[in-house]
Amino acid sequence: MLVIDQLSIKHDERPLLQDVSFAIERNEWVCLVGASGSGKSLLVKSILQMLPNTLQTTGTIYWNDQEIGDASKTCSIYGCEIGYIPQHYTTSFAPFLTMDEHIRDLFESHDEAYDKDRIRSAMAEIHLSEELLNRYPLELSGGQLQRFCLLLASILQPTLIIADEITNALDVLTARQVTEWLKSMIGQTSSMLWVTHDLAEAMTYADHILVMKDGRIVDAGNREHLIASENPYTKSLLQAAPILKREERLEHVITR
Amino acid sequence: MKQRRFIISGLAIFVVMYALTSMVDPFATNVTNRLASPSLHHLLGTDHLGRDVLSRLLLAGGITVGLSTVIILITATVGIILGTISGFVYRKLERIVTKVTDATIIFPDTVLAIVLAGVLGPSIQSLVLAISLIKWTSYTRLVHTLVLQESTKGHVLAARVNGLSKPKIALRHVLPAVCPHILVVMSLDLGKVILLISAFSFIGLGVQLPLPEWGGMISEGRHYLATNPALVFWPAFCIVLTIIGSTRLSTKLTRHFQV
Amino acid sequence: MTRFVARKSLEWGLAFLVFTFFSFLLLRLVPGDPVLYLLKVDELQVDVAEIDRLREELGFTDPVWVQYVNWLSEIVRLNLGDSLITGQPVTQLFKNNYAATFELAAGGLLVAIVLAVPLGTISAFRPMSVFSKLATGLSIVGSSVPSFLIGLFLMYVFAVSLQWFPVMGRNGWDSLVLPSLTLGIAVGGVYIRLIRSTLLDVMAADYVVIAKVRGIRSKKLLTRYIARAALPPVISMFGVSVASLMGGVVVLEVLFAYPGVGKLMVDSVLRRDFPVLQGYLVFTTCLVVSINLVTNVMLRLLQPHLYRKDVSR
Repeated sequence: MLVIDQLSIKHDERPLLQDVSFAIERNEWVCLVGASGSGKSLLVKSILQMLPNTLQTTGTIYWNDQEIGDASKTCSIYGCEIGYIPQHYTTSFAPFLTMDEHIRDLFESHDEAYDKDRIRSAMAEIHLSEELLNRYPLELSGGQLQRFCLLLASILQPTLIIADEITNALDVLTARQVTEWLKSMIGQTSSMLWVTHDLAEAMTYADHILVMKDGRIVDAGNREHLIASENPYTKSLLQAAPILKREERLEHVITR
Repeated sequence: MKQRRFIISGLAIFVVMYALTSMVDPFATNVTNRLASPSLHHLLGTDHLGRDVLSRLLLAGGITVGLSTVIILITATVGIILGTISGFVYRKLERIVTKVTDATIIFPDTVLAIVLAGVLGPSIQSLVLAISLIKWTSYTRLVHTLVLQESTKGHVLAARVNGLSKPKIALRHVLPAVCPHILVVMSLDLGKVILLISAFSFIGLGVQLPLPEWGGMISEGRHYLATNPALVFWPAFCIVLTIIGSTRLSTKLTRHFQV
Repeated sequence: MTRFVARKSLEWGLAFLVFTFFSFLLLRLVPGDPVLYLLKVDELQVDVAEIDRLREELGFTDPVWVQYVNWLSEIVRLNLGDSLITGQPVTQLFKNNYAATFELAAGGLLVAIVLAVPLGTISAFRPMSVFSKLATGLSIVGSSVPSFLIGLFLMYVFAVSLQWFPVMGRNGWDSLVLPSLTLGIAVGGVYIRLIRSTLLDVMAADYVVIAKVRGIRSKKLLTRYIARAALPPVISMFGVSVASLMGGVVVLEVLFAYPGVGKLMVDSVLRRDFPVLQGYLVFTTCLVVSINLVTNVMLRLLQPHLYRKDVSR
């Protein structure tokens, strides 16, 4: 579905991403793990074409066997087939538009009829009261804004949702809530490209994990593969996570 | 090192100016020598009344710079006093002061200057009054904002807690911190006020004949634009030079204070 | 919304009253006795009784605020008094001259918009292009060089040397070109820079980038998101720049001998024609107040989120 082929990004001869290749299939939850600066966000941004022109990119990204370039097609893909949940949700809404206006814009841009019922039920699922629709972003709390981000990313039922470190600033319980909700609601209909630096989280939810270091993918596989992996970086990540010191502890986390 | 060079060159310029201006009388008309080309006696030629252009330029420069310094000092002082009071010492005044400054900033300065000139007669006094009446609001506003910001900082709060009276805090803690900003703005304003003075003298209000002023000289000289464009060019050049100088001064000050 | 308009109208109405009160006081500022001054113009020998009678007749013996109220009621009826020199009603004088001023101001604004909007926008989107450099240069010239110097320069090059346009006066369309161009550059210079920096800020804003990723189409993106976010600073600036626009018009009218209200004013200063000056002050105040009222309303429309009652700012 989404295929990345030898993607490399350079900035003035300094390599930021090198020879990144992977694919995401239908209904697959792929996690991108790595330390800060490993290139995770950069990869995501290049898939979404959010990068500035000053970077030199080689390699190709395919969506459903079509190359993603600067074609006019991109508008119909982004927001509709590929959903994006940003990391900084407080600044992701235009301050002078109400939440409802944001939603309407979304529907309109993808030539879909504004479906009040669908919105209502989706909002109820994530505990957003209907009257928030007429509020402006600065009147909403951080949690409410984040849930609206989730809403906007998922309401058009995209086949792939990209989430960029969205549990970063959340406490453990809230993070759990968010990921559980995503898994149950969207996990059925969409694939996920989930960027995180929390290896435990990745191990718990992902079907397939990509480990990144210094702009390269150094290891890949499902959780069993990673546990048994000989790769030194993967090993150090596993060892660093306090609860993953022993296999038993890991089992305990997963089967909870 | 650099400072000494600065002082020396400043003194040199002053000496040269003084010598030049005292050599040739800027007011001496000599109708037999109108619109003359540059010569040894008249380094930049003469104007339509036979007066020496260079000495008039220099005198005009002195007058203009002197006037704007006065204006800026007056308005800045008023601004500092009012701004500090409304921003820190006596906050209750804040609303009134803000409303007044907001309203005044919008009002056209030229209109005010014209009307004042009409009432008091076109003169240096009316000009100074007009420009001061306009500029005081911007300084008040500036100081008010700066003082407000400064008052939230640690050292001011500490002084308050220690029981220091507000005026004393203002003098010893707030103002010294706020001064660099104000000085930078003052240096920029120097250029702006000089421009204003030139513009007003150009339309006939402000510095009156026979006192020379760049704007006034341009106004007189433009009738001879076709034949003697130099009469307009030199004062214009002085004005542009002053703008550049004031901008550079403010940049230097900004860098010096790291504002 | 209506409450907002009402409240702002009240505020500006108050400002109007305050300003006009000051302009009313100005006549009293004239050094010496105003009555004597008025009579002096005729240069007649008048005896003391006449002076006293005139004084009472003109209402100078009433308390100040009574005089003000009387004066205000005259203003509202558009009676601004008569010129001391020509005896014509002031409003008549204005009528004769405002056309020229309006032409100049409109022309200048037009040039400013035509220059600033495209150049500012292009230099934001394509910072390395030729246009961007042109924009920067123009904005420096426009905002630092005084308008009468720009005018002189243009006059020298295009009127005196090349003789493409008339040097001074108002004789048809080509007389309007140089003054409008001058005013446009002077005013536009500031706007170019403002538009460029605002656009750069807005385009880099998170919500614009994310809107693009959410698939909002370019056209909608541009109008609803970018333009709407970029307009408020420009409109604010406009409200403030009306003052310099009016000042610029006066100076340029003198420079190009364009017979408008500004030139009339300067002449009135030299002839000490107070009613005309006072009328000018009143007229200007009206203009400033109404323009600011309009900009206030526009800002309210563009930024509704700043006016919510329960918002802590």
